[in-house]
Amino acid sequence: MRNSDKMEEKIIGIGKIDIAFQQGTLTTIGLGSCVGVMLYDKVNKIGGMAHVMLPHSKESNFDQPNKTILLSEHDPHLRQQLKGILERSEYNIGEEADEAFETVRKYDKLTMGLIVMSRYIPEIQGIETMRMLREKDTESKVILLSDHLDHTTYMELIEQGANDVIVHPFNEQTVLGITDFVVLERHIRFADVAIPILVSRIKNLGGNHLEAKLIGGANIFPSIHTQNIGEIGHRNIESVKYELSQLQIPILAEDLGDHYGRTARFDIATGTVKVKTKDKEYEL
Amino acid sequence: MKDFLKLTDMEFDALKEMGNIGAGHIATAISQILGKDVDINIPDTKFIDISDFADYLGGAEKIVSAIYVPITGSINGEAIFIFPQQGSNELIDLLLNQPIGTNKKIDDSMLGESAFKELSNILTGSFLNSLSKMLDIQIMPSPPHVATDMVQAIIDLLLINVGSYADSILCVGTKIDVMGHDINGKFLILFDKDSLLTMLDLLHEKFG
Repeated sequence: MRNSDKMEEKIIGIGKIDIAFQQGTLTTIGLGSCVGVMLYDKVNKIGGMAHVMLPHSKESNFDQPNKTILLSEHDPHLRQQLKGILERSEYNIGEEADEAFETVRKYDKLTMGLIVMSRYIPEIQGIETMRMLREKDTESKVILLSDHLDHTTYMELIEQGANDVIVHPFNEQTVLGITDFVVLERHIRFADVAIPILVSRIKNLGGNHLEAKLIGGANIFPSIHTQNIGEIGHRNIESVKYELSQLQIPILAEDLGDHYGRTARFDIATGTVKVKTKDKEYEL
Repeated sequence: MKDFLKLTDMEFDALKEMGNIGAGHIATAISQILGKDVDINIPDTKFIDISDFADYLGGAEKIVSAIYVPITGSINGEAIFIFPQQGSNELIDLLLNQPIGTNKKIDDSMLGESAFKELSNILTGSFLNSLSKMLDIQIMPSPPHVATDMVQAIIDLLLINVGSYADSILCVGTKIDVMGHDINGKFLILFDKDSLLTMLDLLHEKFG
């Protein structure tokens, strides 16, 4: 079998982000006023894509998400370190546990927004504990903490149901970025939330020296000039560029604005982006 | 939207009924213009997840022609007509009374595009008219806007309003078909959050 036969294509839906490493394709279909942001580490071949829908989370009217965490880690030193990082941000540690059954017992879906849990907690392993938690609450959100993580293991943990995995040793930015990714789910449609989180998720897996490619931000109905609809593509572009400049990520290529929709296919093995519009195809 | 808009069965039925009456008016209007039998099914009135909206309209990458009509007045929202390219061409041929297959693209001729816009104005008008009468309020369509592109790119503008406060969108939608022709159109009406609440209040007042 040729290698390319195995490569999967992940579709990044409106307002979502995802990452891939070494192989596969990240795709966004039909970007109109939305902006597709592709970040790439060409040395380690780790990439991520955001399908940004709106410019600023300050325009959001969502209820505040539940930021109370159940922290389950056997090593008291590590637990203290995580607790410090999370509490310095806006998170609140509601309960702590150091083994599996205690974790399941202490979890209460009414009060806990998230479980951050070691993959190696005693009694039974993290994956088993996660299954038991999901029996108690199918909607529960779980971030696993793991070290010596290779890409295959990472994908396995995600496939088994972890919302994400924090790789140890970690830094403050990564821990908060991954936690925000899981907790702020609905806010990821905003550029100012999506981009820092996408960067954290890529760095968590060892990505660095990122470069960006941007696509989209059109005004599909040329005759509409009203501020909230006619200008939204432009405002999305401005907000994305501002966030990238704050994180000192250079823009390598862009295909933005105008009056047509674009589909982008981002090949992780090479970093190339294939663009398709209603009447042409080209490479970015 | 279903997070903040908890509809009782009765309210939901009232909205559905409103959709039915509106769709009936559209069917009459279109069949009078074309002089043909028109098939309009009972509309869907439902919450659709933002991420499933493109699939509801035939798939994200499918190329369609769309007419977007902003709605203003006591109630604000938007109406949108979506036709596969074949459908919009056939409809323009029917409107201009020319042999099917003459029109190749929606913007082939100014005449075709303006006939298409005019049709959507009349249809939106007839829907809103029935709604105005039912609720005893003023609602007006604004001038229509036309574009041909991928479904997902077209619907971005419907999603950005709702996207800042909800994950789903309440939409009244119906299929438009003309007997003996391959039109396969969709007509959708969406109302903004405050307008939906206003409408529900009015429905309560009127019908208890």
